[in-house]
Amino acid sequence: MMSHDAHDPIVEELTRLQPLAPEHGWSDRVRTRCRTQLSRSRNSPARAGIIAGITRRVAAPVVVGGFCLLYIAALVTTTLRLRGVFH
Amino acid sequence: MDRALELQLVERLRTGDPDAFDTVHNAFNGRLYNFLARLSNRRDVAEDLLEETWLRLVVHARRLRPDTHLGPWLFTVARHLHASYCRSRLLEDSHVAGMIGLWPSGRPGPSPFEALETSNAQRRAATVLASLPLAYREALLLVAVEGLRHSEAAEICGITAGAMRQRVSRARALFARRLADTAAPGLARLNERTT
Repeated sequence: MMSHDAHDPIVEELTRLQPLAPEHGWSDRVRTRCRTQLSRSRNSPARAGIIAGITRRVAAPVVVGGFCLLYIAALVTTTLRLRGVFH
Repeated sequence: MDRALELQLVERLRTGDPDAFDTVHNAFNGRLYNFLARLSNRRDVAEDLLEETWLRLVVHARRLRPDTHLGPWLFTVARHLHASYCRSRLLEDSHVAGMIGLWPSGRPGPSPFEALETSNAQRRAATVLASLPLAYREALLLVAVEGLRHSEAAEICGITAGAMRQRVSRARALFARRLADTAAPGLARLNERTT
């Protein structure tokens, strides 16, 4: 691990220290938890993208089409009223 | 870690690749634990802080810069978390001590880590390292134990490379002095009297 001061006696003393290691089972649990969270965050933007795509492709034309239908219906009603059909 | 591989891992982490996380975890988990355990002198605290460090990586994975150095990034997060822990602990201790006035102060004997060291020399070195002021301890841990460059350690601690070099030098001197004291306390006292 040492990259410099290799012949420094103090550094040698420190590098001889027993490296402390976490409990294996604990490390695995943390790793699994983090993996799951990372995978979830990876999938959630994809899901959000799909929803956004559906909204853009379906919902927007439906709303615009709805307004067009209302407009045409209002136009037809007004025309018929002017012609005296609705009396 | 090879820089090209590191950049590749950063890129994969940014896309949320769990296998990239595994590789980073395998490479740094032991080192980060050793750093945090030696810094806090407590296994439970080291575990909590390490878990939080990994969770921070997961949360920030998408926002990592493409040229991120993973080692310094992780050590910076770990160090910040330890500093926050120390601040909250200090606040807690001062409140409780103020209220009951019976709170034990000072360091309670050798830590379990010191007891773990196999030889007498290792035990002495661990005890002396644990007794150093926090700033000196982290400087020695980052530069001497972890083998980071002075500039990298300086970035982690938020100081200049020159200041870090000076800190390491002072830490080394204090470590050597205390180690000599523990090796032959009578002789050290005699030396102090004669000089």
